Formats: sequence, structure tokens, C-alpha cells
Amino acid sequence: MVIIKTKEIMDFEQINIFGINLNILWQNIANAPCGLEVLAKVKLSINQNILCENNKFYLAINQVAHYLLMPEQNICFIERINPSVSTSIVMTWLTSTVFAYLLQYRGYLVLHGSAIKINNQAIIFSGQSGAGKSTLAAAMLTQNTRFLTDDVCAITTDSQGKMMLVAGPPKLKLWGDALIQLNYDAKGLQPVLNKMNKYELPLSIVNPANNTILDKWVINTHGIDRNLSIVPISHFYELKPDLDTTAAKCITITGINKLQILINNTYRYGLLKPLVRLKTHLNGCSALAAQIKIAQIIRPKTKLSNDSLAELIALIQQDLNSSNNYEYHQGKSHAKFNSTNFDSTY
Amino acid sequence: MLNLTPQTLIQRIDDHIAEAEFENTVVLFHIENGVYYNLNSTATSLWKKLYSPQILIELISFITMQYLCTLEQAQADLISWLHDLNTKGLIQII
Repeated sequence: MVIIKTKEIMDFEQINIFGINLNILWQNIANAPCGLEVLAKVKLSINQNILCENNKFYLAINQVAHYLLMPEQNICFIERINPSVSTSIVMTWLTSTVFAYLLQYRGYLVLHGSAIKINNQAIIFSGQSGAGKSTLAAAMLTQNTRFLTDDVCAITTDSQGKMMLVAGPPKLKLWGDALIQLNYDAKGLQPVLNKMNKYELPLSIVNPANNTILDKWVINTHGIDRNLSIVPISHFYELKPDLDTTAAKCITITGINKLQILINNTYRYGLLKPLVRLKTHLNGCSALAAQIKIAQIIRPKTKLSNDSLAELIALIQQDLNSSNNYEYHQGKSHAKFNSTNFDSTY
Repeated sequence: MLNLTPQTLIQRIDDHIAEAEFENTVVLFHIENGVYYNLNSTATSLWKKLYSPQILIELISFITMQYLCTLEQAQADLISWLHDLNTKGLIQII
């Protein structure tokens, strides 16, 4: 008989994020089973902040914490570096980069974006940092929509082969100016450490004893589902701020460009190769590209105001109800596409 | 350069290539080079033949019958396509 004594001897905690249970051990990395071996390897590597292998993942965030994930054992060791940094910030890195590794390890497709649920379908907003993903997702939350995830989209396949989005941790990261636009005061909110003017907004049910900032936050009253939702994906919008654009427009993407856009908006793409998941990833992207509608929202490169947000929401709502013009806006990418065509015009 | 004769056995490379079907055509990804290739429908049907080793002359006759062209035309087009695939590290001679 095996007696598990873990709880008695270690500072042990189990969390469930994206529907995955993970055991957290708040310990020095050196005390982990392969800790010393990992630290020795990291010391010798060029990039001393990260070690990605196909069975373990190490991440060191300066002034915050060091993480060592052992996906097979379902354990993550976390060593806090700075006791004055809140647990919430330590968890932010866990639920983003560390979980990206864990999700990819388990065969999930992981895209960069925020998602909401409309009519029981997941709508993803993607784009580079500052493109407006989280702000737009937050602004589109109403009585009939639900928040699904911020920044990290974990996508899995159901028994019928349909691509489904798994809801993420119930919090949103927003820039200070976006908070003002949405009528929230950054005072009392947790700043995201590496981006000082970006704040984490917890989407938990309001505590009446809490300050008024959270009372105003519409998501707190009807934004989140208590149970984990796994929702079929129907739309993907890539937000592109563009210097030459004066009025926002929505461009439907077709053919192979759909695939290219999904690949370019992959979350932590660089982990796929050491994880030996590039084949799984290509299959996931093509299955998703075949299932969903993809469009680019080209918007003026200015800060989002109430008016410009309303304009974007109107564009998206119009697109959700109809199809649009066909044109492809080429942008910077890490997926180089090339054709190898066989000329058959005899 | 590929040294091709009618009896040359040609096969796709498996190791560093990820492959997916999208809208009835094949998309290849060369994992080492980080480049994606999109095959058109003709290239897709030829590529699928290369799952197993093919003799060059078999491929030429496949094209000839498929597109009702002359052997010379088929041969010239096919050889240039195979050179292209070879340069991109997608096929091998076995």
C-alpha cells in the first residue's frame, strides 16, 4: 500500500486552470528531483532565464519567482525570489508562460488572444501587444456575453473533432488608459510587474465590503461562468493598428492566409520545437482554420477611445451577422509562406 | 542538383516535415528551416504519390495521362518541380 505523505511534509497546493489540475510545491528549485541538474544546465546556457526540454520546463523571472514544471509528474516547483511580490503576480507567470508549455505538452493548441462567449460560441480577439485584445473583449461584455479567457487561448478537440476553447483564469490585464476608458480606477488594482501601466483586474464576484472600483466593474456581476466552460470556436479577429488607416475596417481572410494568421498568433511559438509539437500544432491550426471565420480588424493606430471602441464593436457585430469584402492585409509574420506549385496549364 | 534517370526512385522526406491538409490542398512545414509550403492541387496529388517511393517514369506517365500532354512536356515540368522540392529539402532519392 502506498501512503501519500506529500501534504504533511511539503508546502503543497493544487490548482485547476484551463481544466488542468496542477500540484504546486512552494520550494527551492534545488530541492526538486531534477532541480540541481536543471540549474546546472541553465547556468551553462546562453539564455539563463529559460530551459525548455520535452519533459521539463524552467523559467526564471527576475525579482519575481523561478518555476520548474515537470509535466509528466504534474508538478510545478515555485521558488519565490522576492517576498514583497504578491502571489497574484507569481501566479500570472504561472498561468501564462508556464501553462503555455503544459498545454502544448498535452497537445492543446495555444493561441495568443482574449475570448468571449456569444450565443454559446467563442469569439477570439488576437493581435500584438497593445492591439486592443483585452480592451475590446472587456468592452464587448454585456448581459448576453461571457468572458472566457484573457491573453492565452487553450484550444482542444471534442469527441466529434470540433475545436473548442477552454475558459481560462477569470482575470483581465488592461492598460491604465483602457481602464479609464472603461470607467475604472487603477487605484487598488494589482499592476502587472513587467508592464507598469498595465493592471490586473480580478473578475471574481464582487465583495460588498470591497471598494467602489470593483462595484463598477460590470464583469463582476454577470461576466463569468462559475463552472469551467468549453465552447466551440466560431470567429477569430486579428486586431491590427495601422498608421495609414483613418477608419476601422473588417477584412475577411480566406484560403491559406487563414492558416498563416493562426500560426502567426500562436502563443509561445518557440516552445513547440523543443516540445516536439510542431506537427500537432500545424494540424491544430489547419483544423481550426477550416472550422472558423477569420477576419482582420484594421484600425487607426491611436489609443482606443469610447468612440473608437464603439466603432470596432459595431464592425464586429456587423461581421458576426454577415460576410464581408475579400482582401488580404499582409503584415509582419514569423510564418514564412512559400508555394511549391506544379504548373498544370497544358 | 538531382541526378535523375527514368528509373530513379524518389520519395518525400518524412523526418523534418509536418504536413496538414487544408481546403483539399497540402501544407508542408519544414521544421528545421521554419518555412511553410502551400501546394496547389496538382502538386498535392503528386505529393501524395510520393508517400511511397516512385520511379520517375511512373510520375511522368501519371502527369501525361492526367493532363493529356506530351511525354516531353510532362518530363520537363516534372523535373523542374522535383528540383525545386529537392532544393527545399522536401524529397530524397533512394
